[in-house]
Amino acid sequence: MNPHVTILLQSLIGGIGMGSIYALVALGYSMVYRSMGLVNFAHGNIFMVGAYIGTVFYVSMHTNFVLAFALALLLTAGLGMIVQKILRPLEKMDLIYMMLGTLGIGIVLQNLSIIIWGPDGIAVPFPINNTPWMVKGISIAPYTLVIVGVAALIVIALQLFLNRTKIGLAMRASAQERDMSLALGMNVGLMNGLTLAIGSALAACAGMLVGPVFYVSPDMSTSVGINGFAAAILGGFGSMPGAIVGGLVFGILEQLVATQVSAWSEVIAFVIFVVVLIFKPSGIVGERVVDKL
Amino acid sequence: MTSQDMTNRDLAGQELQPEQAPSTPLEGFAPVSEGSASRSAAKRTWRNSRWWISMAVALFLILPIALNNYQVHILDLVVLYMILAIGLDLTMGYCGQMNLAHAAFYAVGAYTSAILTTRFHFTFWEALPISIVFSTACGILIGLPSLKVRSHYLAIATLGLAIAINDMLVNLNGLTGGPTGITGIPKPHVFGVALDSEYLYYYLVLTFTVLLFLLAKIITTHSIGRSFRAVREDHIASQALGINIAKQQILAFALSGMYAGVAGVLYAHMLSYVSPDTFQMNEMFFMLTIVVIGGMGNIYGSIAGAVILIVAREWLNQFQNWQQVVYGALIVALVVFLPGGLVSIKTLFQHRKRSQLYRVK
Repeated sequence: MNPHVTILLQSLIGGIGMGSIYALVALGYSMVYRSMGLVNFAHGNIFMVGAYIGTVFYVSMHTNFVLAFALALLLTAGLGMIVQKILRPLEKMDLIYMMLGTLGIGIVLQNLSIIIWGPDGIAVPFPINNTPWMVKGISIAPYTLVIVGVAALIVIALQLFLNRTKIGLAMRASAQERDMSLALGMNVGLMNGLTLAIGSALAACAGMLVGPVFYVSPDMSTSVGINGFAAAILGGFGSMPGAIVGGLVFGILEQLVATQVSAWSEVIAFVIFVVVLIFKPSGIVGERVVDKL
Repeated sequence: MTSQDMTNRDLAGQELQPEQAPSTPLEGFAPVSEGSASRSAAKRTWRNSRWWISMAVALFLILPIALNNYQVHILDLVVLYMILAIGLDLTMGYCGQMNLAHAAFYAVGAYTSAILTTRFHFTFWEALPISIVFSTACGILIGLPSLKVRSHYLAIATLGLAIAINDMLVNLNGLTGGPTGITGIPKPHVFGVALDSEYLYYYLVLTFTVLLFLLAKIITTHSIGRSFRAVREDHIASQALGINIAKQQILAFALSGMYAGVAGVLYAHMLSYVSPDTFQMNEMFFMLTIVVIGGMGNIYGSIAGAVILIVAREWLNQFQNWQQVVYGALIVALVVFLPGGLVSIKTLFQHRKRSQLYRVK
């Protein structure tokens, strides 16, 4: 096969793998923004805490990977509920105050996890045999398929939950029409808490999935947190399909640049990102947002 | 006394002054460009605050006498961060532009001067203007997205470009020394005297801080500052008043770049060492904290924030990671309970006093 096509396909596969992770993180950002109007800069740190919780069960306590996964999701969702309680006064404030408040929570989470789990990373073994398959010169890691598969399942389950269940519908309603939902007697605060819990669970899911690929370490929050945020913006902030598309596009973009010039991948990825944003200010699939300033 | 206080508060940018706030659109045209009423108002507030400013400067001038070497180093940092905070406040507080690239401008200033003095043997006074030009240009470049995108979109765009600049510092090994940075940056000479002690260097930084503070004060009390605030409050209305929004936004970013550039040069020559670690995002968020905790849209707030947060950071340093936990919790508490920043404490009391008066009547 043409070597260029090989490289292209190779980075496409790697990009979709990493892009699924970004998509899960971006979904968390978007859901919380949609319901509370809050840009949650602590999301990257919640992602890291979720990864740590899962790792503690899986590596230190030798539980089953699936069980550790479920426990990480549940516990991180609880953390999300607590964070929502703290952040409730920030709901109607300016972006800058939200940003600083959530950053403060992020700093607390980051340093508490350093105190609890130490500054060094933990290596996580792959839950399945990860010998790459070679298909016509392209190597495919089986674990990449696991990441994509699990991410896809989670997104489908989330869609079903939001569209088919009563609680899901109530969450959507209170995100869309806050005052009307209050008037109809819905518990909007609880719904916002649930949204943040689900967003955190999505982040924990991403953290758990990415654990075997990277080290699980306190530093992982920054890069994935920012790239996930950039992905959410790229797709269109607050839109769920946007988060998925943005995550995949950002992942593929990063991989494509990385295979060409590895050291400059961040620079080029972000410059392209800003250029796209200038020509399409509301993201790829985002609706036109009313200028609120 | 109370009337004096109130004028001070208004000057600080919390609210527009009656003279400054155009009540009808027709009236609004004249003061925005050049009005005699606003000019006299600016003169009056200037006369009121002049005494306080000179007292503060005098205090900062004699302060090093009572301090040891380490404390003077902290004082150096305090004065340096005032420049950074004022610069950030001009874009973020006055013009309302999300600017998360301030640390990158700081880095550009520091690195340009470091490279020029160590590799090309420029002197400090030759490198300074070139570095300022570079960081200002960088500010304009990174300000360009502000013409198209707003709020959190602008935040991530500027943050992304700042990350890109930081990556470049690490990757351009030949020029910037990569992750290890540049050492041996020479100390500047003033009239043949080498400023090689913390004490002497402090007066250099203080001079720049006072000059840049006065510049910021002139900018904020005159027409530029008023159009900044107009852009912050309402895009459509300020456009209707004939303000060129694009020009104001780019100007705000250029000013931010200039202030951070000066601070960067001073920082590089203060430590004789620069490395990419210094200009990470944490630094950016620290500057942001100074501005917001001090009080946005108020240069006095930035100054108070710099004093309090730098001293607090140094004091808390002994507790290692717990320091950061306390710091984070403190930020959350302050943002939740005192969103107006430290300068709003004063208005809080004034408000109470006034409401009591009202009750007596």
